[in-house]
Amino acid sequence: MRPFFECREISKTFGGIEALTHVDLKVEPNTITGVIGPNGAGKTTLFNIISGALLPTAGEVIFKGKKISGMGPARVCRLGIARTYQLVRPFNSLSAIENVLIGLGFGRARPMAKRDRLAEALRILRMVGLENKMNHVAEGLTLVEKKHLEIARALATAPELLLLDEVVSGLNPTEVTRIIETIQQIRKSGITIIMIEHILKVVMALCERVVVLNYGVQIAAGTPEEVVRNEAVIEAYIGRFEDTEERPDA
Amino acid sequence: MNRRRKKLFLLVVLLLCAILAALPWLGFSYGVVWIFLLAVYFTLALSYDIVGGYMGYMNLGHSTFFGLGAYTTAILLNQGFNLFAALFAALLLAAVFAAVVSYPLFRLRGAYFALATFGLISLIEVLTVNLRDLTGGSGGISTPPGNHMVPSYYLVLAVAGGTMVLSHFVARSKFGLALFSIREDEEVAKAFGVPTTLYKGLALVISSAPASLVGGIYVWNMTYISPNSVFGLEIALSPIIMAMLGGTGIMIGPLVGAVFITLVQEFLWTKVPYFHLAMYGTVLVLIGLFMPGGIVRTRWVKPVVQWLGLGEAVDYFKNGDVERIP
Repeated sequence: MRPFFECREISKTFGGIEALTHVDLKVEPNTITGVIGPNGAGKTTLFNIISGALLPTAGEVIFKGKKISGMGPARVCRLGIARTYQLVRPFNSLSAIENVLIGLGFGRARPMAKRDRLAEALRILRMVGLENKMNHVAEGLTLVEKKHLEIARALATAPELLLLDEVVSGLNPTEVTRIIETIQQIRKSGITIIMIEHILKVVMALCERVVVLNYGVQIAAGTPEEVVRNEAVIEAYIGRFEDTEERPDA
Repeated sequence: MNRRRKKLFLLVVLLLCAILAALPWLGFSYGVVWIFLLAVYFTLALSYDIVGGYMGYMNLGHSTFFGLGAYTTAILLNQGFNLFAALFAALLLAAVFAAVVSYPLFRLRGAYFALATFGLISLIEVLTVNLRDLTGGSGGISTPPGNHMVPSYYLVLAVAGGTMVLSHFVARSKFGLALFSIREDEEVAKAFGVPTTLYKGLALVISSAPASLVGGIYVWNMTYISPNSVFGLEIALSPIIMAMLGGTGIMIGPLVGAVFITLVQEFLWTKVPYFHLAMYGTVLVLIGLFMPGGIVRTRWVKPVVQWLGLGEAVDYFKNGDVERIP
């Protein structure tokens, strides 16, 4: 059977810097896959490549049997891959509902009839708990609301695959619980999710599979339990005790 | 309440229209000239705002369309074409020109875009100076003489009104929403499927139409233009300053700005000639410092504008469709 989503041997170099080296990623439908790794590991670069904002230097991204790398972000979005941004980027001067309407009106393969768009936008805002703020300008929302708004805007494009880039960062514990609930709800509605996440509690709670990147190389993959026990992962995060001076490959 | 307010609003608008329509027959001939020029500048400011305000691309070369329209109309009038045919040709030429230049220009952003568009004016100006057989060179071009003050007054008011309707519908359309999203974050807009290249070009073409029309009407009325009078700094910058002073990205802004600046100019003109040029610079600095959103977004004016239902596009929703959805 052809895989739902696959990255084959993705490499990306910026000038002389190798941001990603031969990264493979396979995602089954209806799962949540976590991508973790220290800062600068290449996680967001991977997302930019998947969503079409960047072209990979080598390798290809396959979505439902179609090669999508090289298509450009607008087409990738219409094919059913939507994303959020690590540093939130809602359309600041537009109201919450207008933000969602952009996704509804432009991000779908078959745009909705004008009549149904407002009702659908409201339904999505209700799903993320922003229906009371629909007429508020995005700029005035709190961080957690902005993050929910970004999720709503992504959901408006009727995605089959949702890319969440550190949706939990910068939130307090109560807000984290709230956003985890939202994510579980989205997953229940049949949307596959790949999420970049730093907070292990969230990864453990949500993900079936975790991929670990370090310096652009995939150093581990498996269930969350396997990955947190993996020595390479522990080393990448906190280093090793005795070898700081005599590492053979340094 | 809402319906009564709407009625009142309509009444005021109708009254204003009646006054404007009656003005030439009441003996205010200076008022007619003044309103004519005001409407020309207002139309330029408002059509500039589709690209400059709604889409957030500062198009300093907007007057290129005005000049193109004026020259096309003048040349065709001299060939014996009727005014409407000439205006239509002017509109078409400016639109084609806008479509052609949009491709290279919209590869640029921010200050680079603004400077490149500003250069466009000089480009066309140089062309008009050097294509002497067609345009009369630096000596300018005259059109068949005649007093067209009153008909051109009505024509320009019609174009101004049409531009307001255009601007109104663009702001409420899906297309307009896409322009706003481009202004806020073009990269994200693109990632969410907005066809940015197409829409940016379309916005420029749409904004070129009113400018080219008023250019044509302007030359029909004045019967003489020179490269300096239609490609000069005055006509290039004052509509933009009007839009910015009044408030960009909001339809009422350019109107307020245009009325304000022409009024102030009117007083300064007689007392200290040429001072208005210095004033533009001062006003620009003051806008940036004290009211970055323009007059209509200041604390005292904003509630009035909102009460009138002329506020931000965001506010339209508040009073409009969404509330009716269960």
